[in-house]
Amino acid sequence: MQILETSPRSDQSKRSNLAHCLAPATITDADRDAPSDSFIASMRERFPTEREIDLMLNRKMKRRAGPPFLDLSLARVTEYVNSFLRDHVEGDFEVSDQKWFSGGASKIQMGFQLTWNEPGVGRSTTRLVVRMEPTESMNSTSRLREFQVLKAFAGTVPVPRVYWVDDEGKWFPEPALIYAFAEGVTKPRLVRNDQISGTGTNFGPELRKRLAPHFVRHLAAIHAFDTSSSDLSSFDMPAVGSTESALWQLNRARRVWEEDRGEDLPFVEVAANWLERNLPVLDRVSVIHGDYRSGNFLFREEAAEITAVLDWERGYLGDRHRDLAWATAYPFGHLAEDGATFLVSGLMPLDEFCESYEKLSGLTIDPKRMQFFKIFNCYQLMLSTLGTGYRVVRQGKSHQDIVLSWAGAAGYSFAEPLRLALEEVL
Amino acid sequence: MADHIDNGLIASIKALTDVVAQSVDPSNPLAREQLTLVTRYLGFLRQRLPYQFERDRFELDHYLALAKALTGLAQNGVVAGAPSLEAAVSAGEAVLLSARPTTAQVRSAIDKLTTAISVLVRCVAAAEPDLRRQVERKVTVASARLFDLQRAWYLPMGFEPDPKLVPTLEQALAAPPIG
Repeated sequence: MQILETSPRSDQSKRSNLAHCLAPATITDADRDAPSDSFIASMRERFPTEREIDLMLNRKMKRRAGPPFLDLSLARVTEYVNSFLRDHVEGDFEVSDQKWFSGGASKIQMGFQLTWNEPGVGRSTTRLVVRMEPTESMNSTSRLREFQVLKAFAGTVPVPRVYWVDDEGKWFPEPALIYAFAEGVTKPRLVRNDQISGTGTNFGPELRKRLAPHFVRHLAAIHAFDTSSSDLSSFDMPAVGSTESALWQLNRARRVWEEDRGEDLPFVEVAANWLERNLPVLDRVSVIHGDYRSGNFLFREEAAEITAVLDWERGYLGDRHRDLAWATAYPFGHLAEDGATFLVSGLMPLDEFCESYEKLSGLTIDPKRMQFFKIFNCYQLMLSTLGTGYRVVRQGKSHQDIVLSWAGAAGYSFAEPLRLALEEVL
Repeated sequence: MADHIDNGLIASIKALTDVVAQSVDPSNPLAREQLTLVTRYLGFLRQRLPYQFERDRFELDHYLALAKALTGLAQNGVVAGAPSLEAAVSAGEAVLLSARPTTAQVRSAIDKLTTAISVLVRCVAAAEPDLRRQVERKVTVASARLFDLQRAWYLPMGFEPDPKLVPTLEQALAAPPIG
C-alpha cells in the first residue's frame, strides 16, 4: 500500500493526518459514548476552532458519559431562577406565571413574570424568558456569545432585550440566558401552511410583500455592523485575507461529526474533502447570525413588521455568505403561487433579495462564495441531524429526544441538494 | 399469519390518542408537541417496519457495489493500517449470499464497508488529483440511489420541500445499484 501525497508536511502533521484518515476504523461507539481525556485532546488537536466553541465542545464531551437528562419541571427551573435572582436583583422579587415555550429543536425555554425593583424604573412586572441547553442538544452553543451579540444589536435590529447571563452554569445546571419576552408570531395565523411542504413558512402574497423589505434590511444591517463598536470578546476575530474563518467553521462541523455520529457515511467525507480544499478567503468580517430565515423572527401580523430577530446562538464573526446561503436555502423557502418562482424564506424572489441586499448593505454577493456556503450549510445540517441528533437521543441527553429523532429525517432532505451541488464541481 | 407487532402499534397509537391525550395539560406545549410526535412516529414505524429488512439489504447491496467499483483505486490510495476494502467486500458478499442472514450480520457487513470506504475517501484527500477525483465522483454519483431510498423512507416526516421529486419507497427499493 502506498501513501501518495502532493506536498511535504511535518512528522506531527503526518501523524495527525494518519490519525484522521484511520479515524473511521479506530474510533468506536464506546469512545463517543464515554470519551476519555485523550480522545477529547485528539479532537481538539485535529480540529482547531474558535476558543468559545472549543470550550462548549469540551464541556459537552466531558459530560457525555454522565446521566441522561431528567426531571425537567417548571418547579425545578423556577428554583434555579430564584437562586439566580437572589444574587442579581436588589430587594424582594416574585417569579410567577411560569410556562414552557415549545418550538426549536435544541433549547429549554421557560417564560415567566418577574415582579421586582427594576433599576431606574421602580417596582414593575417584566415578562422574561430563561433559555438554556439541556445536557446535550442539537447544537452546543454559548450563552455568553448570545448575550453579547444581543446586547450589541440592541437599537440596530429588533432583538429581545437581554438582562443576565449565567455563562458558566453556576446557578443553572447549564449556562443560561434571561431576556425579555418579545411580542409577535413566527407564522401567520391567517394563512394556511399545510399547502407547502418542508420547513418553510407561507406568509401569503399580501403579507410577504410587506415583510420582505424588513427581512432584507435587518440582514443587511447585521452584516454591515461595526464589530469594533461593541463587546464581542467571546468571539474570535478571523483575519481578513485568510481562510481562517471558513476553516474554523469547517473544523467545528468535522469535530462534531467525529464526536457524535453513529455510522460512517462516505459521502460526508467527500463533502469534507471538497470544503477543505476550496475554503474561501475572507474579504470582510461581518457578524454572522447563523440561522437567519423564516421561523427565526417574530412579527406583528397586522402591522407586518418584524418585532424580534431570534436564535442568534450559532452566530460568529466571519463571511456574510454563510448567512446569505442559509437564508436563500431551498428547504427554508417555497415556490410562489405561480408554481415556478422560488421565494427566499417564503418572502421574495432570489434576484430581488440579492439586489436589495447589496443596495442596503453596500456589500457585494460573490457567486463563488455563495456556492461554497450552500455546500457547507447542507453539510453542516446533515451532520447535526444525522450525527449529533443520533448521539443525543441514544444517550437520552435532551428534554425533547423525540423532536430530535423526528428531525433526523431532515438530514437526507439536505443530502440530495448537497450531492447535486458536489456533482457539479467534482 | 397474524401480525401481533402491528396490532401492538395500532393499540399504542389508539391509547395515546384516545386516552393519554385527554389527560395532557393543554397549557404545556412541550407535552402536547411530544405526544403528537410520539404518536406520529409510531404510525411511521407501522408503515415502515414491513420494509426494514429489505431496506437493510438494499444498503448492503449499495455499498457492496460501490466498494467493488473502488477496489482498484483503493490499492493506490490508502495508508498503511487502513481496513481492507477487499476484505469488507468478501464479508459483505458472504452475508448477501447466505441463506438466512440475520439483521445484525447485514448491518455489521454494511459497517465494514462504510468504514473502509470512508477511510479511503479521507486518504485520497492528500492523493494526486486524478485519483482523488475518481474516488470522490464514484461515491457522489452512487449516493443518488441511496439518498433516493432514504428520502422515500422518511417522506412521511414532511421535510421534503417538493415531495413529487421523491420516488415511492417501492420504486426506490427496486432501483439497481450504481457502481
